[in-house]
Amino acid sequence: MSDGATIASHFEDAEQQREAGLMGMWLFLATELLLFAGLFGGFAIYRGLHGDAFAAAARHLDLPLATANTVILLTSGLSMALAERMAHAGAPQLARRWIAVTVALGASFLAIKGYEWHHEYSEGLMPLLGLAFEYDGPDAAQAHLFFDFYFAMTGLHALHMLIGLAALVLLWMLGRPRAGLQPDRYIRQVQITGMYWAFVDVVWVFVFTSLYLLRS
Amino acid sequence: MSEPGTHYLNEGWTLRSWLLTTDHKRIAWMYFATITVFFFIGGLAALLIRLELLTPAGEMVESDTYNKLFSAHGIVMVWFFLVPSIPATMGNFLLPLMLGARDLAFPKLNLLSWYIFTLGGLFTMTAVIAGGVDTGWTFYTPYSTLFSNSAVVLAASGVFVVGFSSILTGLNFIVTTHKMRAPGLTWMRLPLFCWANYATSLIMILATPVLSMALLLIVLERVLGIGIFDPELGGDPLLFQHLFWFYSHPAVYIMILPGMGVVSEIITCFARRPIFGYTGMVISIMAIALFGFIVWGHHMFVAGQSLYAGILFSFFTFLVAVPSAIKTLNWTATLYGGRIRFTAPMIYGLSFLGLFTIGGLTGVILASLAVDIHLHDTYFVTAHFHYIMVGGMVTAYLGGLHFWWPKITGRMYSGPWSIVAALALFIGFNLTFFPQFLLGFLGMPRRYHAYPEEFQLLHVMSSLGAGVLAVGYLLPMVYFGWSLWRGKPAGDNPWDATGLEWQTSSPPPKHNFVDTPTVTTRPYDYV
Amino acid sequence: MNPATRTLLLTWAALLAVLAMSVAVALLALGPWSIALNLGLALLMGGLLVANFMDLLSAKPLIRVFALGALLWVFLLFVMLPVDYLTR
Repeated sequence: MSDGATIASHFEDAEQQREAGLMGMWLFLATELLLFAGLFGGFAIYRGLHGDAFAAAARHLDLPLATANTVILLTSGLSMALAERMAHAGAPQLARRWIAVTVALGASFLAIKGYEWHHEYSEGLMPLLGLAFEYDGPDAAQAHLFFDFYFAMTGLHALHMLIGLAALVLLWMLGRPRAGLQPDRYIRQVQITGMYWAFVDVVWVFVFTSLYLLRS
Repeated sequence: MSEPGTHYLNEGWTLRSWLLTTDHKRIAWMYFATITVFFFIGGLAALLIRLELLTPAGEMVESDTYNKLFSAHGIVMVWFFLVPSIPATMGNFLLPLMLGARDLAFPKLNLLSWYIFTLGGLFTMTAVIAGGVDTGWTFYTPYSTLFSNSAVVLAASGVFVVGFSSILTGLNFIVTTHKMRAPGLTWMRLPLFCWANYATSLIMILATPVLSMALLLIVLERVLGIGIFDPELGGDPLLFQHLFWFYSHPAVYIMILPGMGVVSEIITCFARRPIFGYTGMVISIMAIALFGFIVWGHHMFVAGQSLYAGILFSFFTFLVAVPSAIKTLNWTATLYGGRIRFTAPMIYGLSFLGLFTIGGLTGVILASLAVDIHLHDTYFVTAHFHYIMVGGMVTAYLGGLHFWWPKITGRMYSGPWSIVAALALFIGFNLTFFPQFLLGFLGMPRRYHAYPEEFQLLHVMSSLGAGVLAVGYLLPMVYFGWSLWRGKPAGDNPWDATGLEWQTSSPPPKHNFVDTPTVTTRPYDYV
Repeated sequence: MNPATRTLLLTWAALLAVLAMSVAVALLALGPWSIALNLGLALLMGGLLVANFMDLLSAKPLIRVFALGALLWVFLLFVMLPVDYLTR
């Protein structure tokens, strides 16, 4: 089948369709950026108002584990970018392999994050659902506020990871060798998912910096 | 492609052919049906409010019920009628036609937007049935998080969900405007309706997510017990207001820019004149969209915001009046020397011009810090924003509906009755809301179900006006319905208007144009 | 090695290097300087990700305008929001 088979009837040509898809994804990510900007804006304000309390609370988080997690996530960004490269180079099966690597890395990130949350839960640092908040430093109320942000930010980020992982698994299944596989369509799908995945990385960089690194 | 005589309406009659359609014209109809239901639900709440306010004593409803009534009115009217009103119906229907495209860029996403919208609506309606919500449409913290015993979570979730619908619509419109224009249709040849919807879409995708976050934090605070706005922990309730108005002030422009687009189409057509100062109009539209984002603090002048922030926001608010004034003056200049036909759409268009001017100028009054201390939270504010949102947007919505009805349905409606309806709207609206300016100036606060006796005369006038206004809303339902059944065939271009949408048949075929049109002239090429 | 692939690998190496620097800065506890440096390094990492992993560098000009626009709007929020808190 020729290229024309995968063009939706309301588009003039493949180029128009490809650019429309890319532009749509960029706009969607702009929306996502503003969504997180609302949360980070609030955090920035409170970081300014309760600087010492927030810095002390940040020291209660597990920095080594989170740093390792950041390395994992940045590496998954690389593997996804490589998947895109392979898809563009006309090697969908190699792309699939890199997608599988990305899924594995993403899943390990979530597993480590889950372990971290459990650790905070057992330390009494999870002020959710009426659980007791047992904080040993000064300014316990403001530390409570810090942990509210911690769970809102990491939780929302993890939700985005889950959506991304679901999309990647779907992509992995769609790309299996079969008769109906439309190469140009698959390239578009890999590229758009890859952008989303990289964006989730960007968000994590700022979550990590705001929560774990601003400790003094 | 299709046989002669078939068009998007008679292509299929099954329910499935509607519910699973990806045709932007059918989706526009689905939005139209849904938001009309919401409009009358919101209207019912308004009716009860105005009945209660006929007498000074709070006789008909308890103050609690009254709080729920005005909250339901605000939430439903803002998010389930005004925000989607023109973009989701006429924008959806007309944008591809005006651009010479076969559909929006993402037809399935467009259908998904409608389903998300309906889902959000169900949430909020459930909230109303589950006892209602009493926070007002603004969900201010800490009342909404710590004290209110009403269905805040359901209502806020509904608004959160519906936000995604407007984000997806906005995204779709922006990509369509960039990528799907017909050959020769350069940016400076776009009808102002397209520009207005483009600017609206920008606001939708850039502002809505911040509201989503603010509402999400409220829901998390109530469900999970995190306390980001809790003053006891050192949280700042005002932060919610900042985030809320970062969306909701630009959202005011979501609720007026599309109306401005509609009116630009109507006034040029019925004055038979090209728009005065096209470039200025385009720049003003974009300037309003941008400035709209840096004025939000004027909702918080007396809320505890710092005085210096107030001064800054006040200054920017005065600034946003400039592009609005440019637009108003340009419409007026367009009328000058025109051959004006007083059809129903034109009467709506001219009503818009007058009512928007009053709404805009009273906005300038409210933007002054010192005056606002006297006027904030009074009926003066209520009257001001109703002049913009009802006098402006609803009038433009009805005007646009009358203007494009022949194109959308292929049928003409009754000329004389439509003029009666347009006049009823203008008279009823002014009778309802002008007295509220006086009430507010005299010190009548918003959101009270009882009031001192000296305000009764003005309140009675306002309630009577609401009755006339209701006639103006109900009458079009009657003759529009009649026209679907018995209306004369309209022909392809009954108003003799320019614009690509008038070059195809009425109603348009499924893919809008038999051959993709080519554009060679500027818009509004009236002699 | 294919130059495009090399760019990706170099980007990844740069990201890890910046991450190491950022963590070091945080552990050195330079007070306000740490905050400024950490935020700057985070912006650098975000920039690297967007430029090379999201292909902004090779994207069409219009896409770059969109990306800048989104940043501008974040900037609006982050500039106008503290005005109130800094002058209260």
